[in-house]
Amino acid sequence: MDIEKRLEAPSPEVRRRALLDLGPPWNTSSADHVLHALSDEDWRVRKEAVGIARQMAGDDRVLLRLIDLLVQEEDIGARNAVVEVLVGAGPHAVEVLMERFPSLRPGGRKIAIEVFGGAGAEAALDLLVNALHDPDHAVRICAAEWLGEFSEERSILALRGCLDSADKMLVLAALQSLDRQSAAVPWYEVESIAHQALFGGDLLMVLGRSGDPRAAPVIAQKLGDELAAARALEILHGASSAAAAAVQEALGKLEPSLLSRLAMEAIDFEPKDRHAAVACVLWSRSETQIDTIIELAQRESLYPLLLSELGQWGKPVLDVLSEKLSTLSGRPLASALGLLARLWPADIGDEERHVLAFHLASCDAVVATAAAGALSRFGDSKVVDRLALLLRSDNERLSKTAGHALKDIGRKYPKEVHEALAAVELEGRAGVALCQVLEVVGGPQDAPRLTAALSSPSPELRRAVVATLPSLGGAESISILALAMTDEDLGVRMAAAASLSKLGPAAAETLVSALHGTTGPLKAALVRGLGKVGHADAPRILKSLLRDSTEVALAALEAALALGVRFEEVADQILSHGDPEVIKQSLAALGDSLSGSQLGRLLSHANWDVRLAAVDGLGRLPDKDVEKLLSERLDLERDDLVIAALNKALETRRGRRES
Amino acid sequence: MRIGDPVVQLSVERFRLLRDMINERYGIFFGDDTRYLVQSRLGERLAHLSLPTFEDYYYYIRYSADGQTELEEAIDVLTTNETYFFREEYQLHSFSRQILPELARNLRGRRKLMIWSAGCSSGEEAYTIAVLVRDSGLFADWDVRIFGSDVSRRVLAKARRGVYRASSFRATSEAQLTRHFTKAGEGFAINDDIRSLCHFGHLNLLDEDRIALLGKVDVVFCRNVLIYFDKKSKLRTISSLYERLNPGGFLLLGHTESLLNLSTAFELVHLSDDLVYRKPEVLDAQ
Repeated sequence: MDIEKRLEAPSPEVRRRALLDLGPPWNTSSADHVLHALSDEDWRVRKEAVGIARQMAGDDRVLLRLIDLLVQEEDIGARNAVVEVLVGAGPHAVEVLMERFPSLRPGGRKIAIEVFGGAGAEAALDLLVNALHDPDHAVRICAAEWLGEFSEERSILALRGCLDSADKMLVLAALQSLDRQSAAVPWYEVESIAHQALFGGDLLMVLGRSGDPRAAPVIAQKLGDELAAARALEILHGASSAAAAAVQEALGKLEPSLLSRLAMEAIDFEPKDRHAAVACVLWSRSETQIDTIIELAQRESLYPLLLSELGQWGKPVLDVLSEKLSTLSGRPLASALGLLARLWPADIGDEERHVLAFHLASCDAVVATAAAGALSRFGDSKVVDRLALLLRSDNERLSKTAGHALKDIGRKYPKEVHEALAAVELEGRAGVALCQVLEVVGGPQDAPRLTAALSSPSPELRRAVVATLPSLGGAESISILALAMTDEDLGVRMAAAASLSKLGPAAAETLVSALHGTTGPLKAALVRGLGKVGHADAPRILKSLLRDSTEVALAALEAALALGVRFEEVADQILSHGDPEVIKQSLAALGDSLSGSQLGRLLSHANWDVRLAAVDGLGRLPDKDVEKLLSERLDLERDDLVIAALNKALETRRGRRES
Repeated sequence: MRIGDPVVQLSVERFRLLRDMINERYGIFFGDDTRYLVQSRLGERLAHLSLPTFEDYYYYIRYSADGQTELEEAIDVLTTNETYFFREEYQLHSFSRQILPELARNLRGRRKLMIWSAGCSSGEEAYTIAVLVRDSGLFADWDVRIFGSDVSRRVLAKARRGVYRASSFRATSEAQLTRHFTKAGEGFAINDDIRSLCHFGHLNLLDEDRIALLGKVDVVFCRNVLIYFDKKSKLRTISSLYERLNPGGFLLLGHTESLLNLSTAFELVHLSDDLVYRKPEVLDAQ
């Protein structure tokens, strides 16, 4: 079937393929078919036609026909296809379209502006600015919308000039564009429209960016209606101290329930809006918001903001929160305790400590957890027995928090904490938490207890034991960890490898023995461990692993370099690894230590990304021979990216030589 | 596999391929007369992996990324792990009455005792040794470690759980059961004071390098394990066990096993109820 018939075939796929068979080279009738196909009913055919038409648009005759189509076409799909062709057809198409612009009818001018905007054609910027005064309303609006895509000063000034226009649609389009540009507009330019509800969130954002304190009450009044108001206030607050004070004052004057409602609704907002809404509540500095703040404090993600702002309220907020404690229960009480624990200064008195100890005894696990968390910072030897009891709680969070608190208190009162732990069995969850505390307060005397726990059926406990052993000291740890290296649980073996790595040269033999028959991440962990502890035979062992699996080879390289093995000894092996990723990462690790010949060999590597990395490395070398290597490769290279890199490297070197 | 499903046949050639691979990696040797046993037990694995033939299964183990894991599964289903507490009591009697007291005397300087149950299966042997050590009363406050190893991760998990049903107690006295076990559901759980002496790990007895992780030991129980090995693997294993033993350390084999024609490095020790092997204290100059 000939092409013309295929172009009329009922099957879109046949029509699409027929388009591909038209050329290149193309003739006049090809152009007819392609331009006709731009209005095909099937999007795949149109898409193919767009691609071909873009290539054909280099020919002025085709280009002019496309422009004619642009203004004549009534079919939206076809018109969009033509816009797409022209947007991607390059600067010449823009140039020709600019020449034709004055003669186009309003509809054509509007579409031409879309092409200039879509193509980001800076050459057309003046034309777009002038189009703001086009006799046609739609063209003016379109120009204002597309100017928002150009960040040049001219564009912003032109948009600002529209703000006093009587044409409200033009003002709105300009505000939207200015908002997209995050442009700062002086207050006097927006004052006259500041109260006009029609302009909504875009206006508020522009007001916020004015940085003027006078904008604060205007924006604050909109907090109940416009989501953008909170973000606008946030921007304004950050503009200057005067603006921040104005925002605070404006928020303080608002109905308290409006702010609390906003903050609680904000919990479901996008992070940016949520942050802004909560910030508004905090900037109000109103004690009436304390309940809201306690409620908000139940969200861990809001803590940084809450703490940084509440910290600026000073002592009054601490007093209000402390008074509140006796009226609260459950989660709100836990939140208040959590806030106080973070806001109290380090030197709190006995009264505050007593409050925390009191709540530590709460039968509500949430409250006890909050108190235990606070005691991490303020606890002393008086609470360790109670915390040790909580270590055995069925509530996982409470048990863990008690463990953290004991660990922190143990740094100041190791003996008292150690004594309190004597009654805690090394089993289950409490055992895991206990291990973590023993890391701080334990000693060689705890080794037998921990060793016994290695027979536990719980892999979590065995992992915790193994992780704790190095901190206890004592030579026995190594033999226990060696047994743990035979554990059937990979996590236990990984933990044992990490622990052995902390024990210095004495652990080296065990690490070497454990390497045998091991693969994957565990082997890599052992290899890294060997790099840390050192071993007389380590360089030889590590070199033999440079051709191992990717993760092991990289670990061996890292360990060898850590042990001071000279790069010349490892470079050849690692750079001939079968995995290109290993080579690339090695190039990054070995940096400028590689010679021209080593890098030169990689120029003929099968993978383009390796060749690219080699070019990069060679480009930095001062050797004279490098230029020859790069030039020779340039003659052979077929990959565009590598060719570009080769040209760049050669150009840079030549430039350096001339200078 | 369900009843009525056609049985996938294991030809002599494929049987030998699989057998030799297992022998090469683990030392365990299956004679020609075990072909149908292997066929029936590994048939479950074929069904599990949806593999149509034993040839596919062989290549799956050999070349797939999960090959090693599958080989361990195969070992799991092929090795009979049936054992019980206080098995071969006469030998344990000698161990308690003669070997432990001698070790207590010889090792009192370092106060550390390490015993290895090589091929511990589901842990009954390791716990039995721990009970005997504890009941001897000779090692209070000593650093005692009983290490059980096996190639099957499944049985190691059972050993760690330490809960057993009645069949494991066929040779356990009422007094021992009461003293060292606690009723747990339909079975009995080993008490924590005994459990805390025992450690378990995954070891292939042919992997000399990893066996070195154990360090030196004072007694090796390797009972009814070597019977599954061919001569070459037995030699390698015996050599490893010798290497791991401290001078003067004991090797206890099963009652049907001996080192005859395998090793002359050990000395034979005549105890009242049994014969055991010992690594000489001082090596002969030759």
